[in-house]
Amino acid sequence: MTFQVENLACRRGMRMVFRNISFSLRSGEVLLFTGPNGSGKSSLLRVLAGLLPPQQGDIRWNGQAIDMADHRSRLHYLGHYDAVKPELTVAEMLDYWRVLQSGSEALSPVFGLEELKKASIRYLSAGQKRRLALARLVVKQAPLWLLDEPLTSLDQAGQELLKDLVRQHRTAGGMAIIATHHGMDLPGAQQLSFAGVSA
Amino acid sequence: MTVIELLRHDLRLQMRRPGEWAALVLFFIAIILLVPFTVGPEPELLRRLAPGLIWLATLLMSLLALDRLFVDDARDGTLDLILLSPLPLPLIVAVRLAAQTAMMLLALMLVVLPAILMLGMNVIVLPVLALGFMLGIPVLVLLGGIMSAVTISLRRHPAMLTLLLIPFYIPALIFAVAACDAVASGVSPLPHLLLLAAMLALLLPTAPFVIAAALRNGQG
Repeated sequence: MTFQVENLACRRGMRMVFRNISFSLRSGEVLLFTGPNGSGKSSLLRVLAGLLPPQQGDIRWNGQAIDMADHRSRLHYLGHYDAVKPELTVAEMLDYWRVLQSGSEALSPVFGLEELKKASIRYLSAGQKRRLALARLVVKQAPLWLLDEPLTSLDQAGQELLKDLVRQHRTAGGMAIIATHHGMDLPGAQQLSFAGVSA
Repeated sequence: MTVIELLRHDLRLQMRRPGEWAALVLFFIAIILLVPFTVGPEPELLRRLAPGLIWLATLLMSLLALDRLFVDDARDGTLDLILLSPLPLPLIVAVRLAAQTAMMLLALMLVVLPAILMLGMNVIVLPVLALGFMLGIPVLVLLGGIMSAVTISLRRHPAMLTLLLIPFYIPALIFAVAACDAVASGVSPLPHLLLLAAMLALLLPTAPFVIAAALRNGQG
């Protein structure tokens, strides 16, 4: 599997957020986006997920221009927001995600959420909500992970869990693109740093 | 199976917001309650105005209820997951609209009888009013769904939804109230109800697709 991006550019409103982005990823590889706030990391991830249209450039999977429906089913996107509903319990939330992602297996919550299965999400801390959001990554197998600042609000143990998860994902042949301003020590990861493109 | 699970989720989410629905129900009652103070308490006048007033209160209530149809999901990131779901987007949208319709009909069931008593509405109008709700509420929800999806990228301007919706609501309002007036004056309400049904028949198969397209392209 290869995921290739060539000459990608994105404009939001009047502002050019980034341009001339090119990279290529193979099975088991990780790409880290680093850069200051507002440099376009999140926009790039949204473009790669197909949530935003690119201004120009090509996105290819195995050498072919991506078909949006196929692309959606092979990726996991973890955005800024946890996408959790305060009205629901942890188990109900996981169940909804399983339905949305057409995952088949009944999901066992991970990340130290086992005891919180029946707890209302209203009473979870920011870090616990983030862990819950990370549990989406195991609802369904997907070869391409797009993670936007996944370390936010996570404690030390949570960060280790996430790194473990990425490691397992790589061993299984998956690829991950991670935007972070913390820096994440993942051995052998490619780096793409955003200086912030001025229009 | 998927449809049932989606529907259960949407309904459950609404059921867990009793405060919001209580506010809507009270809003409806408040409008009806205030009418005699504004137009005067003559029973004959109130009886004649009753269907129109009930529909007006329904419409205002639905404007408030529909405001949040997709906005919450857009704010908390759920909309991204919905857009990335392998399930057909129009299906997810249709389920959401069905849940909203069911909740609105349920809320109306609670308030319509007190409203009828307060205004002294003629009882023979009741079946036509109920039929009008069955046909008209889905129309309001489908139109509201289109507008709230179109305005999703204008999240900072909530008034836009109301401004855009009112012209489209007017035909539904006219037919629904005319049906009630017809039966009250001994004429057949059928033509008006059929026109309302025609609006529903037009919107039902098209609106979910329009909404899906608007949500997909509203991500700028």
